[in-house]
Amino acid sequence: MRKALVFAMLVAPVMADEAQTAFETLKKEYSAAVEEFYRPVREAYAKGEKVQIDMTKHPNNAYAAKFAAFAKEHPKTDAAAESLAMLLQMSQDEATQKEAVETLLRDHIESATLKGAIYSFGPADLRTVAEKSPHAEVRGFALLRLAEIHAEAGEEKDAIALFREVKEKYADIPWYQGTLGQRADGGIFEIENLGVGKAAPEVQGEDLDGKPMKLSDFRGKVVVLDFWGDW
Amino acid sequence: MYPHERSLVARMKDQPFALIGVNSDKDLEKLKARMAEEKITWPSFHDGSTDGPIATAWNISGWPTIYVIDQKGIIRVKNVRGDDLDKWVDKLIAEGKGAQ
Repeated sequence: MRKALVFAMLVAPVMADEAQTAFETLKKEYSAAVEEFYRPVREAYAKGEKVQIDMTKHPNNAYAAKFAAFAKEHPKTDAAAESLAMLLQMSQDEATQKEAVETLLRDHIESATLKGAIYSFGPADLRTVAEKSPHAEVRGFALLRLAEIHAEAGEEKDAIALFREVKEKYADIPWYQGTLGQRADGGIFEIENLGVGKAAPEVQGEDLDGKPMKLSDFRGKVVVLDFWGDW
Repeated sequence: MYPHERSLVARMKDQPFALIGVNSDKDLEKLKARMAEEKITWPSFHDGSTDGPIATAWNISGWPTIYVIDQKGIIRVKNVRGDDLDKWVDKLIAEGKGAQ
């Protein structure tokens, strides 16, 4: 009995290592496939030319299935959690996504990797993550995403309450260039000042030639204000 | 985006309408070359980056983000695209005419 236990303790980390090694190999294969896929674009760009590529042949479609299969072969390992989070970024297939989300919530609720899958979760899933994850960062991201979903749906009261909860509990957690607290403040400001039916705040600046321009110059016209970038 | 915007601007040429960009590109020279190529003739604020002051003040976290503002300066709808955007513009132009 004791021998068996020792054996199991020795074997478990080895298996996890094997999973990790196999996963690194799979990730390398995937990166190489993506690089190969975009090679014509890079070559054309170097010559100052343009080329159309068939996005339906993007390796994401094939590799999402491979990452899903990997997670099934190495269940409950860290590599599986990472594999599921990665496939959620790649897969367009609803059934594959649904299964990955369910597996993450069932087997990997304690994994910090959930942070990378936040945008794949629905409101109920986000609630679960916000309550059960042991990582403050993951809980904070989940709660913020939940607030955003309510804001996008025009459910302003719920959204404001959730943004406030983010501020109270997770204000100092980094989020892109700033913090979750700043993002929550922005979310509240947007609902209170930039909602449908509110007067558009003044915008004062310069046009692309450096000439002064302000939004109120266009009062009396229907204005489509388009935040854009050529990327 | 650009072809639809070009046709919207052309169609609204004689109407009280303005398409105004808030541009977050960092490389202004490259941007201007691209704008010439894409025949982007409508004005844009120069915001300089996705962390620019205007995008920050408006809490923008995704690009493009679109606000449609009526003739009185009221925000009427956000993030409509394509046919829906056309319909909103038509509706607000008609509303303005009704009020005169």
